[in-house]
Amino acid sequence: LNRSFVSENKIMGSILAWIAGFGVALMTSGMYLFLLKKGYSISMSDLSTFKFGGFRQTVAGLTALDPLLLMTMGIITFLFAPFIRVVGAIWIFAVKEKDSTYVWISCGVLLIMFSGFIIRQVLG
Amino acid sequence: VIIFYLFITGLIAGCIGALLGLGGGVIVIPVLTILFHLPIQIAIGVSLIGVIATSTGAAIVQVREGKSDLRLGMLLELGTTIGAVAGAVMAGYISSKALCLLYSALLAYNSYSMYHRNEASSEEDAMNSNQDMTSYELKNIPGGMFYSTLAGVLSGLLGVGGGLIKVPAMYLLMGVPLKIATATSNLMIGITAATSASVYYLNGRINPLVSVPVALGVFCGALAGSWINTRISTRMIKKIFVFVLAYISLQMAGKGLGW
Repeated sequence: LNRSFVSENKIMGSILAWIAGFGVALMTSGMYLFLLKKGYSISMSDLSTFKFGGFRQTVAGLTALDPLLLMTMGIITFLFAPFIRVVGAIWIFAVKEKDSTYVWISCGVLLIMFSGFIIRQVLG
Repeated sequence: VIIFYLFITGLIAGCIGALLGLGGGVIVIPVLTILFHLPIQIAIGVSLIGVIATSTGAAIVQVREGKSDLRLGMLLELGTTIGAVAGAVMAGYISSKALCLLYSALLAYNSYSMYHRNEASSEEDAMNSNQDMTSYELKNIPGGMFYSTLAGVLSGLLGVGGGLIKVPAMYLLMGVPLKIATATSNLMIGITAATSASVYYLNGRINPLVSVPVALGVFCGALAGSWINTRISTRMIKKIFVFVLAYISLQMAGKGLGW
């Protein structure tokens, strides 16, 4: 059990809390700006027809304080949190536990997680 | 006003999810498809973001407490993440009607297992209090990997966390104490959902206008639900929800069959 590395878990918990806080802040500010700009006149068709851009467009939109891209960046931040959890596991197994088997297993998990991005490119 | 309704939907889903030990998706997806008439593929993407939000919130507390078994979690995630990618890719090729029918079957199973759990809960509570939480031997690892992969496919396909399959597989099949199985499942759920959600994101099936108010609602609702959970008995709510889930399952089946 991972009870033996409580201090590392505390660091991981704090990192996750910061990521979650940042994501919530981006989502909330994006939503607030959206309601300020667009008002409350959103129809059901707005909800179902909206398509948003990729990662580069989102990052570029941040500087312009585009409300939808701020919200998208908040979502990406939340998506990023579990990746950090796996990186943290690799660090714990490599540095604290010195357990190479689980380092490889965790690296495999991280690789499969990233494969989600690649598979989409392959399938078009 | 629609955004406010979406936030309230997430709030209720997150709160009930935390009270009953269900993922928020079980409520979010039927509400978005039946009441808001959104395509089920978009509802699934929204649900995945809600699952990640809830799981991250829970992980902040649980990682610090060190209740989850990190080794077991990573081992099973090998199967779950493969299943999640496969499920998310498959979801792009399956019709909305078929997804509704699959979701209906999942809800029916959810309702049945909740009924079963209610009946057996007092006996299990007594057993769990006597279990050793510090040392246990893992049994049937291939079986656990199989069910974890299945949970991953369901997560990618239907936008759920998959805890409904992972927890019984770890507890009943692999001999993991229930509290550790639940905490490990929570650790895994976010990783699985993020894997599926990355495929959904790149396919343009995650709509921020819907996802953000629902995810914020789920996040706040899950915090409120966890707080309420320690103060009230959820036995009666669980009994009511057995029938609510069965009813929603019929509604989703009707949508799938075009009634």
